[in-house]
Amino acid sequence: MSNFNFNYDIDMAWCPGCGNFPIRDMIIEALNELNLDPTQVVFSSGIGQAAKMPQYIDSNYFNGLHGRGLSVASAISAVNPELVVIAEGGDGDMYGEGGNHLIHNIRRNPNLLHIVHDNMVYGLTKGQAAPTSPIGLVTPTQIDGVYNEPINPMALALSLGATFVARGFSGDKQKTKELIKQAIQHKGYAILDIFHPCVTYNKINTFAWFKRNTYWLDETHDKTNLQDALKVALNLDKLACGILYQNNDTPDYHTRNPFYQGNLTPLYKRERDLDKVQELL
Amino acid sequence: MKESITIVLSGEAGQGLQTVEEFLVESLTHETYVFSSKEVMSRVRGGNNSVEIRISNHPIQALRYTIDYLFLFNNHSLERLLPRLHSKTQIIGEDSFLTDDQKKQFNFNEVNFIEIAKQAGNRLYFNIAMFGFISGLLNSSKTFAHQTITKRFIRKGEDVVNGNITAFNLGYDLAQDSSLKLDFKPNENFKPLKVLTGNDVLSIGALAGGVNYLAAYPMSPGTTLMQLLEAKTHDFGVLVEQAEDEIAALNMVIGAWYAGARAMTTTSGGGFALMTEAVSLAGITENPAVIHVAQRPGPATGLPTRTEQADLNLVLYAGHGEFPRVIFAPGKLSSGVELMARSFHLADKYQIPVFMLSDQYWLESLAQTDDITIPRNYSKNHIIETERDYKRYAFDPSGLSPRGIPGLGKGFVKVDSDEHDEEGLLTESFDMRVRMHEKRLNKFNLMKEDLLEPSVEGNPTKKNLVIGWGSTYGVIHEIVTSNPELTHVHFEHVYPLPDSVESLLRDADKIVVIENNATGQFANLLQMTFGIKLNNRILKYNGEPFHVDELEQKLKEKAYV
Ligand SMILES: Cc1ncc(C[n+]2csc(CCOP(=O)(O)OP(=O)(O)O)c2C)c(N)n1
Repeated sequence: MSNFNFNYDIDMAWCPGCGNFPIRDMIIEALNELNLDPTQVVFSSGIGQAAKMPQYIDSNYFNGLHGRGLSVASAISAVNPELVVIAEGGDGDMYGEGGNHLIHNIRRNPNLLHIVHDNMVYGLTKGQAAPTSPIGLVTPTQIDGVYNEPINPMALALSLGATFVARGFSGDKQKTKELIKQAIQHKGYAILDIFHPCVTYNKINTFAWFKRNTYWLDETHDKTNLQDALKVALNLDKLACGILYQNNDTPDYHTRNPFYQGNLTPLYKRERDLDKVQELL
Repeated sequence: MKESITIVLSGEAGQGLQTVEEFLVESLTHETYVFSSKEVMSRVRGGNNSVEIRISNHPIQALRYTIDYLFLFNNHSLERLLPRLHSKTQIIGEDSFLTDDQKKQFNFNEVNFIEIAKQAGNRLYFNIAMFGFISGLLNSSKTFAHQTITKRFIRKGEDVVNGNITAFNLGYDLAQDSSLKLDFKPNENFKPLKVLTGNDVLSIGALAGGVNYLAAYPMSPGTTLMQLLEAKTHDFGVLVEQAEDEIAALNMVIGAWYAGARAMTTTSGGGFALMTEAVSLAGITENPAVIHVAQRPGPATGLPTRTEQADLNLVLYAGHGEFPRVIFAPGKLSSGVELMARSFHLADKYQIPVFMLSDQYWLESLAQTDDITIPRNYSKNHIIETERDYKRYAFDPSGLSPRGIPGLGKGFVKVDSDEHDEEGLLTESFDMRVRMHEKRLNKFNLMKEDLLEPSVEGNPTKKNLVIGWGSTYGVIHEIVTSNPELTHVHFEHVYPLPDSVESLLRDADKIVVIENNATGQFANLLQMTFGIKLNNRILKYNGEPFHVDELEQKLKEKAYV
């Protein structure tokens, strides 16, 4: 039986009541329930409170630069198709600093799960606006309130052709855990945006606000229909949770990249034929 | 008879100057020493570009400023080159390419290559007619030329091959019958050599270093290496990723090494500027990275198609914080293979970023080399299979923490861009910070056994030193060969510098440093490292490489030769 949980105490750097705690539980439970071998799983994260997650899970990780977790994850997956790769970080990390990588990795359709902690604010750097912050949120760097439109990550991902687009909420543990499991099993790029309150810096988008303003998609939603998914994503009156869209027909990175041609041997196991290099001269 | 002659072709982008260059050099290398280089404008069509082909009876890897034979492709290809003509320069081209005054002023030889091409069946063959004409002047072998033509055009069908051979022969015979005679005879002891560009040798060196992943964002002159390795995707198993930007490129390279690949990126100064945060990431995570920076003149977009050696400081200081790195700058063509492969080896062995600092001139010139034996021990992975209690940043007696990769072994590989403990968990312990920092910086000491000494050629007394680094090797070498009082000290491993350099500098009477930049960045580095003033510098920063005759003149002015 696999176990991604620590068997020792660690001083976690999150505030009491932070949504990151239940998200950590869900991830560990999901990985355990999928019976994955922790040595074959790699987390890649950037910088931020959310991006500290890999430190608190017993597995491999590359905790790199702010905004670059997805780039590193994409390369890890590219060179070793045997690994289960999870890129994880906050909304500032992944939608702000790393926005360009989001756009272009969707085009690559790499085999990885991209978890974005969506608390609609910058936590670690103490409360500035995130790309997802609502208009009106007063912060130390927006004293009259945010006046730029927030981005809509679900609609953005859908419009770029992401093959698995889902949203969860830290307050709905069971359902969100199931989303994580399904996203890991998806062949290709899966984005999972998880709403969670920042109890310290975001006094608008509180736990109660998320409860009031979200709903879960039921079986009447056709997740294979892109138009329906877009309609759901664009409805900002009430924010949908669940799998908005899943497309199993688009080939993933390892299938579409002519480099592999069906041979998924990790690069580190391949030997260079130096005699053949000598022949080039 | 001259020791060497300088032929220049001048025309516009898209007229096929490069074809003449490549054909000529490829066929001449069977018979004589040859070197060629082009200077082009940053545009796809039009403008004025030129190619210089030097033919010599001793080995050369350098250009001359003055032109002996100038072939024109149109009526606006002379103007820019006027300062480079001398009283004996022969100009060859169509009648309409020169004004009446110019025809009187210069030694003009009318040849209409388009007419010759038409006789051979198609006006498009005109540059092959020119190739034939030059070969005829040189009295070189038709056989090698015909082979070259056949090899290049075989895919276009027999008619095209035959038409081009006819054009070549017509040009050749015309030259043999003309009154124009070339003042040159090849060295009789010449043995055929290989012709390669700097880009070629770097791509071969990278393969010898085991490269199997490259992520890059196109930027001249760094892109050709990316293209050459992309062309090897299937034969050698190189996964080439065109990244969305340079920030992604280096982060992907670092991620790829982390997961066990042997990875590199290639760019130019502007692109590299975007990579600097990730250089620092490689530093603290003790993750290998191989970075090719192909220099062109800055600041900013600068002169995109020209050359300069002005990014040494950028590469030397790139990345916040303090951490070890290695910088190579190839000079001899053959060094490109060794140093590029060695970059992978040192990056892996010491878990550091290693830079290959080349430039447009060195990368794109066609030069000759003897047989190169590729290094055999630079492609092996320095990775271990992990145990259950593996700690990525263990304080190992060797001074280096054995590097595991995820998925190989029973342990976890935890890597952090924050300061971290042995396991890889972030820490705020001042004590741990100091120990980790010292472990990383101690690699400067460990590396000492792998630093390469500069090459020392010429006068063995080492009293009059001419110092260069990287691409200036060929031009300084040629000057020192004919000035026996000089000693040429050349650096291809430019950082860190071996301690032995200090006595070399202290014991000399005179030192001049030659650099293709405006501030003497390498002289400054030597000065700072060894505490010796080096005020005597010859610097060039107009976007061109040094020319032999020009540099010799500058050395004369400084009473050096
Ligand atoms: C290049 C760079 N710019 C800025 C920062 C500072 N920084 C660290 S985390 C962060 C934003 C954190 O917000 P988010 O990603 O939403 O994560 P959270 O802390 O809310 O979980 C910023 C701006 C940095 N580390 N690196």
